[in-house]
Amino acid sequence: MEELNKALRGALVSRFGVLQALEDDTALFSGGLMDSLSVIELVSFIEEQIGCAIPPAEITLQNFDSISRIVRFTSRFGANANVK
Amino acid sequence: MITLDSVLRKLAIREPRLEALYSYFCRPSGRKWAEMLRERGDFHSMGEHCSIDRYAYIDDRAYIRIGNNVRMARCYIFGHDGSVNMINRAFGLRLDNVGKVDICDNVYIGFGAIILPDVKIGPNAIVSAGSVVRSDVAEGDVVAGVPAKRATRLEFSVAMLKAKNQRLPWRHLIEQRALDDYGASASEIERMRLKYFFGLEEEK
Repeated sequence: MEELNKALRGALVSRFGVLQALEDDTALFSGGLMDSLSVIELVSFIEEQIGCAIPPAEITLQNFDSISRIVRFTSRFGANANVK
Repeated sequence: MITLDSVLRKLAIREPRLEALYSYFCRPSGRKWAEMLRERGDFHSMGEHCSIDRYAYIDDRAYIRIGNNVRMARCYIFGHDGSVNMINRAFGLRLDNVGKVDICDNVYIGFGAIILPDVKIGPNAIVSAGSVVRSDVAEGDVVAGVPAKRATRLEFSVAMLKAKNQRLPWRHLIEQRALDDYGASASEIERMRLKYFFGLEEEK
């Protein structure tokens, strides 16, 4: 999951324009760093990275509001996850 | 007390053709317009705390079910597809193409959105302005576009709004308002908004 953490940090800067210094627990959406409309693109990026589709009902702040939450959530996909 | 508003409202309830008089002379808010429609029993059913812009175009109302806290801007809702009449004549058929529209609790339908028959929307969903909805909108979705597709999840929109509101200088006045009371402190809020938006005290 270290690879995902690194890929996410890169994408948050290059694709989503988040320029602030990010801790693993920095609130991305509830902290106002990312627009709500970015979440679907973020989910697509993560799906590409892990090679699994994420069910819409799982797209929640609980799972996607910080790098650590995303990494924790995607680890649930376990052996199916194929981090690129 | 008998007022023009109460008289025209009663007429609109008794005779739908007269609703234009109520709309034109009283300019009722969306909340009042929705309450009039509810009292008249136009829809299959309608929940509480709804708001419907008086210029929203809603056809086939008997096939439309509306939940609680449904808010509609100037949108278009249809329970039928009129092309079936052309098809019937062109091909010598006798087909029907009518469907229900099921709008669940806590749904907002934006300006210019078009809702086609046979769809269920929500609960907890937003149909963005200008969207064309021709298939179900899942619980918690915010949809946009033609045809309407998931743009985000409502939970994320709420989080973004909360973060945005933290930065507003007039936030304390908004927080003091009762729900659906947009009149409280309105002039003070407008003054603060103008200063925030344009950086100057606006002179009237």
